[in-house]
Amino acid sequence: VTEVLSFSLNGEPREVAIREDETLLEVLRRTLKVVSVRESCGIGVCGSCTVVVDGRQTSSCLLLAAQAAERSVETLESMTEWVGAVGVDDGRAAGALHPIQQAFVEHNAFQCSFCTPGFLLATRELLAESPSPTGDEVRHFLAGNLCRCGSYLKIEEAVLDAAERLRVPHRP
Amino acid sequence: MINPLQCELQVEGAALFGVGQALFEEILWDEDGQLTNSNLSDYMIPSFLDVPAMAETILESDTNEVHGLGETGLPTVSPAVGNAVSRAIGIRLHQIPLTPERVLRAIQSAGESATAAAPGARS
Repeated sequence: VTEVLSFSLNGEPREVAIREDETLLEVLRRTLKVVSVRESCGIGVCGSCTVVVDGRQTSSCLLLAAQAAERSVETLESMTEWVGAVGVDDGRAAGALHPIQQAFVEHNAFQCSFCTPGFLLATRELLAESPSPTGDEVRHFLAGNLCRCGSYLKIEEAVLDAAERLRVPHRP
Repeated sequence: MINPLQCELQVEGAALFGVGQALFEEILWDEDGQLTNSNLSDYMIPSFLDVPAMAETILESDTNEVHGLGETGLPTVSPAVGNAVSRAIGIRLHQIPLTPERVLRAIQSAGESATAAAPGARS
């Protein structure tokens, strides 16, 4: 049985045909091709499939797509209009990266990068709530995002640096 | 080093891999050969809260040999944790991960054999 899901994706109204048993993760990836949303554990413990629903981070593997009806869903793409891969010249300046993304790039806060979109969205929520977090706060807030490569120390550095960039917006 | 930052990341990540191996990562099978912890809530991997203080030093040699750097930090972690536990409880465990259950059982069985060896002691 299919139905039409009407929701807001990264600020734009969308209508898409869904099956009633599809998760939001499946609709985003398979139907809408938003592949920054990634499935790892599939049971809501790893944070790879993080999306932001009505302003709060949520595991999209645990949410039925139908539950997103008339709600605002944001993915990594909401952080910037820049959609090319790092290092690819798509005609837009790399400076268009969000300061959090820029900090992650400069601190090399990833190895395989599978977990990175989830970490970036979680970091944005952390810094919105707490603009000057301590390292301990960073660790606790991001404990719901797993990084199998173990890049946590560089991630912590990047988050603390990103906090400073956002507090002092004119810093290059 | 061609990419020092990536070298640091490899060593840090590998050491953390070692923490997982030493303390909680274990694939468990039941008597019928069925995997019993096939998901990330039952099979734990290190999270942000498991990261110890770390400092890595990478030494370069003057030889012309070229080596890849991968997981170099891993092998030393389990022996180090094993030595620490051995020093703490006086019993050397020979199986990783050194889970709380495994350590407690080792302490209990050491206590039992000490009791058995002492006639008249209450069990």
